Amino acid sequence: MNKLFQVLLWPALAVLGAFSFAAIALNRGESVSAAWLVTAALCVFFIAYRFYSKFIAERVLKLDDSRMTPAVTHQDGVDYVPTNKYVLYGHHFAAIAGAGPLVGPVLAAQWGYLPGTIWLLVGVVVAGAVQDFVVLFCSMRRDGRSLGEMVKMEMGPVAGTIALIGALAIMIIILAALGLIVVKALGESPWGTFTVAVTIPLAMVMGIYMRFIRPGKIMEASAFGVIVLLFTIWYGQYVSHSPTLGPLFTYSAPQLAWAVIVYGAIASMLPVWLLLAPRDYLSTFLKIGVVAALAIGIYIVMPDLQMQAVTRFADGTGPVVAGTLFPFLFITIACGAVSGFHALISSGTTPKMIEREGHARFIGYGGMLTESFVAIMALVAAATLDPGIYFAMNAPAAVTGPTAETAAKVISEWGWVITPELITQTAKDVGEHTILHRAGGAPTLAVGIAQIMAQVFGGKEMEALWYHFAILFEALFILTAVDAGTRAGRFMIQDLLGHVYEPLGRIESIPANVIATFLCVGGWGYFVYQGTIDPLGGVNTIWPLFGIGNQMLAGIALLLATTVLIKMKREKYTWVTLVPTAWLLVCTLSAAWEKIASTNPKIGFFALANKYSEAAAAGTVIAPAKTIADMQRVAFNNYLCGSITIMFAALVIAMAFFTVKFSLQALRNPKPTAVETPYKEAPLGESYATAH
Amino acid sequence: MPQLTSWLTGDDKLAAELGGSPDRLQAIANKVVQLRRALKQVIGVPDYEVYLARHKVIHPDVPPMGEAEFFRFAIDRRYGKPGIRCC
Repeated sequence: MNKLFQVLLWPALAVLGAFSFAAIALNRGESVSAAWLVTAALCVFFIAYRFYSKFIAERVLKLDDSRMTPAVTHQDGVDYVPTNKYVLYGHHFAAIAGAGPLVGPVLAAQWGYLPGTIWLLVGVVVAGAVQDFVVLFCSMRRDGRSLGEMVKMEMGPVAGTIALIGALAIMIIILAALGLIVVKALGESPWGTFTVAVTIPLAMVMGIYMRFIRPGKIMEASAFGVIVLLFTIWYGQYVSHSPTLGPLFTYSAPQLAWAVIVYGAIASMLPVWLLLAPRDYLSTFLKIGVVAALAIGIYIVMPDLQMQAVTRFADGTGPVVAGTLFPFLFITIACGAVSGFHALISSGTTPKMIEREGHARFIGYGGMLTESFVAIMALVAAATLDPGIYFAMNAPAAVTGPTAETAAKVISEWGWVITPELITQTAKDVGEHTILHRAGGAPTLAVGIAQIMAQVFGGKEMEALWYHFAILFEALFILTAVDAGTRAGRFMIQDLLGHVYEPLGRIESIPANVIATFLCVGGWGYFVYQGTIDPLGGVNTIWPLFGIGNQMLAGIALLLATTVLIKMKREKYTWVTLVPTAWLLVCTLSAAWEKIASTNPKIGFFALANKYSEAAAAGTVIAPAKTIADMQRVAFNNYLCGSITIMFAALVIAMAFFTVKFSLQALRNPKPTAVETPYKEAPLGESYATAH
Repeated sequence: MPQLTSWLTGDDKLAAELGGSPDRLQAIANKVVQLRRALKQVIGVPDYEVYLARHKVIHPDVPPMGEAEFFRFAIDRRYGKPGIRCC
């Protein structure tokens, strides 16, 4: 029976997957249930895991269960701990899944649901999961070293410094994008602002409780935290209607930008146990809970996909992200398909906790497949919305005008008929004054989640509660990321500054700390603030920059992986990492090229900058700018973004050069030259992960 | 009920006082304790008992940290170094 099951399982999954794709493909023009999309994705994930990741594990990397992992050789019970495979998978997933897989697919829904789905599925199987898996493997064979250290070891100190600068630049851009998403979601929203504000004192109470009152009782504190959060979400509706409390929590986007900046600077200097750790626990529990609930919700409600498979915006005139499908889809959806950031996580804590080499397949490859599944669900949530609502929320004010009437008119002209009443009613249903121009993914996703979950539980009256729950859930881990990211950025800046002037590199020095924190916060804070006052700025500007940076980091990680494979004398299999590397380089370099060189001011940073600076010099004001100062601001910001794009392109080209150099060296050498920790035998059959 | 209390409160002694635990439910109780420990590790909190066991092997002559002290140490260590969070 068991044998029969095994023989039939994979063909059955293949047939189910093919059937699901057929249901999507053949129903063009009619509505398709989102459940088919999710089913098709799940079949692809299972089959890819079973066959492709097995091939990589056994033939390409030759994982060896008899070889001791760093978790065993350096076992200390704190950093290096052999951990149960499933527990570590959960931990790894919680560390890699953030706002990225939720935001990118929502923005990419402007091209229709099909291009995004195909890129998510093909991208994760061939590129993203491979990157996570191979980098995890490399780090595991090198005592859990970080990406930067491994690049230094295998490709020399210059390449190592380049990787470090690249990682720092991307960190600052991602923090800016995340900060801006929170600001856009909470602008003029007293309900949302109130619930998010409450999480700060709440986390502090939890932190003090876990530190002094009942040390280590995380479950107690987290349960208390979740209950207070739910109460806060419910109470928020009274705050938003209250004539005294309401105005206290109603802020414009620029005011909130300052709030996030000040928050980031203070939070990253507080002791970790007070705010960062407790909120991290809360957000992890919420993250896992929401992902599971949404998956179940989609199967219960089986909502229809309302967005077209491919929209007219494939031609590059899209209001959400400017540019044609190629290359811009491939940088808009980064996390979920392939994310360079994961290379930093896969070479962080996870490799220090793997019990057996063989587990790396499930944790590295399987963990990334799970994140891709989250991205698919985000895409589904956006595509099940009325497209009119989707565009009303995501198109900038410069395109759809200031009111529900103007937006309805413009969007109806695009071919998605919508009334201003529906736009205002949707805002009312979710308890907001307006849903217009809330680009950034979080609010769109929250409306999608609210509409699906309200059908499962609570009905129409509960929609506003579900919406604010979803906003809170996203804001919670974005603020955690801002806090943790600012700390990480500070360390990186101190590391770099230490080379210039030694005392600035001292981690325990408070003045050095403050200087590095201000540099880091100033870096991302500038973009957040400009995103709220620059009439053409915002998530639409910063997200492509983030996408290019993130995919370039993935390119760097995959270039390292390729070098390592060649140095291990596995030349035969270099296509496993070389194919995704080549695709990423083609996508990011052509996207970067268009952003730098395009003469269309909607796409090219410099074209837009030139247009505005020339007009400003001539004394003319181009709408939506209102003053000459606005015009100069647009020009300056676009020159800046263009320069950063050039820097990213230069970094990745330099890395490609080092890869070729070291690969040729290794090819000429008849012996393997990869710098691995020497082999130590780990008796098979023994479990090192105690306590489970 | 004691199992539930124990899981929710994280305090085995308190749970025992509240209800006492019948033998046949002991197995379930153990599972629940395991689940709780697994959940803690998922959110990134190292397990105290694993540390104790390890400490006995590496430094048999040094007294180990108490549970509260270990927890403080572990949290500062995990978040005190360049902790990179994903997008």
